[in-house]
Amino acid sequence: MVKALYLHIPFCSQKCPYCDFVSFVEAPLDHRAYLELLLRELELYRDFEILPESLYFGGGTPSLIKPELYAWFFKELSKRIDLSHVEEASLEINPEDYSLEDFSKLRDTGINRVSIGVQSLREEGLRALGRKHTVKRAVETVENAHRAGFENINIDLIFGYEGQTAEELKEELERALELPIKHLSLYLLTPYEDTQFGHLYERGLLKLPSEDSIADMYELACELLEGAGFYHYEVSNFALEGFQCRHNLAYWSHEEFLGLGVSAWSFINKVRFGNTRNIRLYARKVLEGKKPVEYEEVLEGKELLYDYLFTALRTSRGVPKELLRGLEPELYEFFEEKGGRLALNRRGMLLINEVLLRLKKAILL
Amino acid sequence: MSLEKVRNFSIIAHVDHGKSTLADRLLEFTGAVSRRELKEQMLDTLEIERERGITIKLQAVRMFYKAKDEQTYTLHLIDTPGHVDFSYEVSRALAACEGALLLVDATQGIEAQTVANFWKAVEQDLVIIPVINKIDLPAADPERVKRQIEDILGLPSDDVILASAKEGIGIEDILEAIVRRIPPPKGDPGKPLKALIFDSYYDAYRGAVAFVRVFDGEVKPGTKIRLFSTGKEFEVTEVGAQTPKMTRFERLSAGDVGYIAASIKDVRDIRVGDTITDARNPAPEPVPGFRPAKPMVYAGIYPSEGYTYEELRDALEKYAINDAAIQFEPETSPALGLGFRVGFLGLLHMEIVQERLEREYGVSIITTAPSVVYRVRLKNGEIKEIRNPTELPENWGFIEAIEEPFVLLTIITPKDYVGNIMSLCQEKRGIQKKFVYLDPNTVLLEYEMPLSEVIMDFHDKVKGLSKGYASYDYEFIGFREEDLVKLNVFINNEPVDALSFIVHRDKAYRRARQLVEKLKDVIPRQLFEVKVQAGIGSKIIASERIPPLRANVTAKCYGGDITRKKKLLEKQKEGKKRLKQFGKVELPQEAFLTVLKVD
Repeated sequence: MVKALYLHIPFCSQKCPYCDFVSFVEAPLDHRAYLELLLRELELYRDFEILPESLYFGGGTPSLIKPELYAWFFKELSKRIDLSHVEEASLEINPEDYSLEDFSKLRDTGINRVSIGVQSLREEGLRALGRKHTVKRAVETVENAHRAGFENINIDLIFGYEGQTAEELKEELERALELPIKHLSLYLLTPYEDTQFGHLYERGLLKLPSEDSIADMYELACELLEGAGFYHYEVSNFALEGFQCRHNLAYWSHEEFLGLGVSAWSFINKVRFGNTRNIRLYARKVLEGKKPVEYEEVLEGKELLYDYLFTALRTSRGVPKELLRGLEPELYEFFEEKGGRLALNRRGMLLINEVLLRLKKAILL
Repeated sequence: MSLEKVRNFSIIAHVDHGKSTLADRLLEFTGAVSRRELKEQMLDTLEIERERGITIKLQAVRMFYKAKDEQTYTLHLIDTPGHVDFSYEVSRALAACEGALLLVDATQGIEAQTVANFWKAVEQDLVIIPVINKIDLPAADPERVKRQIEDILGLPSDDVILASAKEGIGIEDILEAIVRRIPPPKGDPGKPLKALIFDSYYDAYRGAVAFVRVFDGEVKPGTKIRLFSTGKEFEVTEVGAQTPKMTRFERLSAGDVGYIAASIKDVRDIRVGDTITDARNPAPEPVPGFRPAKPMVYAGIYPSEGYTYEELRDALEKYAINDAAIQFEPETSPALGLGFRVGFLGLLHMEIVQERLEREYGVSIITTAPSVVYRVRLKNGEIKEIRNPTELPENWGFIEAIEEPFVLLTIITPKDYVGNIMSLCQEKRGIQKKFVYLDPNTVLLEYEMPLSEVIMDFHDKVKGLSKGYASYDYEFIGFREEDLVKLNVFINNEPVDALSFIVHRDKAYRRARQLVEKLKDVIPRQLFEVKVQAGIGSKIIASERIPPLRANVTAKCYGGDITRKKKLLEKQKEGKKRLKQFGKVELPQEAFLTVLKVD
């Protein structure tokens, strides 16, 4: 049964230099038309049992779409699937978009969790990340969401940008902790190949902090956030008790989920399948009544196990101990054991790729 | 065809002095190829040669030239390789000629290789035509070069031809000089066949093909030939010459230069320098001077992660069909597993083999640091040749002495850099034998030096210390006893045989220190701390630690990203393919070559 539903909103007002998600600054169709396509696409999955407990609007920039339109969308959505079990409905928000009034309207649509892309709480940080908004505006946005009645608020921060020091990260986090937030995602800046930062980095034009300072920053952040009661429940995620993101937890525990929209991925019946990344093709397929699926990864046997480890080891809950019987004893120092489960410890989380590569070798060979 | 109208010649020059360009112009001028057909540097066929701008395979081209005396001459241009690794091949190519063009760059003047090749040509009694090339360049100083030619080589400056191969200047003068000054070949078509092999290559259709100079007799399809050195016999299927395309002829006879194909499967059966004769009517004596190619430098070649020993073996066997100079035998390294010990003529040869194995034969390889051949005299009177430092007896009590190969090194340098070069040579255990001014600005130095010091990083050092102006050449002069020790390298307390090397005792400490520091730089951080140490025997004399990795994380991984992020991680793994797993440590190719980077 599909209990998590993801909706991809591929619109952006600018392309951020670090982002490797599918989005369009100039899309060939308007917001309403796109949302209609999502509904049409959903109808193609009539054969599936879909009873969502969580919804997630991700992007792109979902906040480019006005709350009024989401109100309409929820109404339409509820005509097609039962939304009565939804406990968490998140929407990603860019600090430049919503006013206090917008948040109030959003509150009435059914959205009950907002994830705000603050990215940095230093002006220098925002500049280094190529963001246009100001710290003031970001803080206001968080406060407006809170004032409008949103209790479950996440902010995204990025660390490890050019020139950042551990001391500066500490200031940012202390500032973040003064905000009315329940959840914080702290991502290490990664210059992926197909991004602007990736190109700059390869040519040596983007100088990122050394591996040791990255590791120092990460440890400091974990220390500080955990000290403030934020539980480190996934590699990059921290939450106060009761506010872990259940939608994202579904991704990391091999629960089935359906993704709608251009480039969205699903995981159903041990198959990961992904939609086309081409928005015109997406629209055409959906209008023709065909699933816009273009990629598929069928998971069986060891591949399924590896896929599970790949996702579940990201969490502090870890995996049942038996699954790691093949673990090289020397890797134990990166794990901790609790209640019959093994989870990566702080050092291990920052080295998850190395650990996974070793595990993969041990499992698949 | 009357021998009177035949001329066989080579071009000898220092690297970069324009040999290939001149060859192109001669072909063009004589109409052997049109300008359109003329790919730059016609004679260099291999891709790598073209890229590196050097010639490693020699070939022979036939062209026809109508001289000013209204007679048409057949000219055979025999190309020679331009690098010290191939000096034996050069001498064999010269043995096939009656004359040589000695090409000197008008801006650089005489260089070490020019001198070395000049003396090789003199040994073969060749008529030498000095040509000064690149006279069109603004920095050209032909008068100075003329004086050098006269003073150093003793060739009258009146004989010098001024040319620019690039601009086509002087080409006709050169052709006229070839016709007038170089004597026609001697030889008797009636005598038993005697043909000198000066090059060979493997052709998918013809099999192994020998390029030969016929001294006596004749050879044609159907002739049963015999190789002097091995006694092997083959039946000729085709003879011909390059014009420059491979062109069949009815026969090759005394004085001719061309190729012989005889369904020979392995190029190693037709070794450069060997003599071909007629099996039914053999010549009593071969052309003198044959010696099998003798590798001077050995290195281990192992498959990288993801490739097997069998794949490497197949690639090497296929490669060797086309390169008679390499030798290889299987070896086992505790650190690297199954692989081969491969013998090369020199470092350039090694680099070429490495590149071609990867590029043309599709195997990814790890090459260990090259080592010269050492000779160990044991107390029981036995003499052992050591091609791999690990072959040294562990118990030094058995060893009477270790000898290493020495070379006579000739260096030519502008006088401003003489001081630098002399201290370099001293540091490299060189013994000075000669110091002469070639002209007021140029000095010729001769040193006796261990070959191991030359292969180390001598090339880069010499070029660096002289802003690229000094040049050198060397030849093997024999083995000498030296105070040598074996330096062992340990990673996490385990000896890594492939990193051990033999070094002079006085230098052991410095090398050990530099080596562990370099290794610390090139070995990527690993999940666990890595300890790198070097020692004589088991006595540690240098040590470094590589701190463990701390961050390799996929920061963001949500529903839409899992497949993609798995692929990205897979890519990281691909990037590690060039690493070699050693115990718990992954060593990159570079680590095995760091030994070369320390002085």
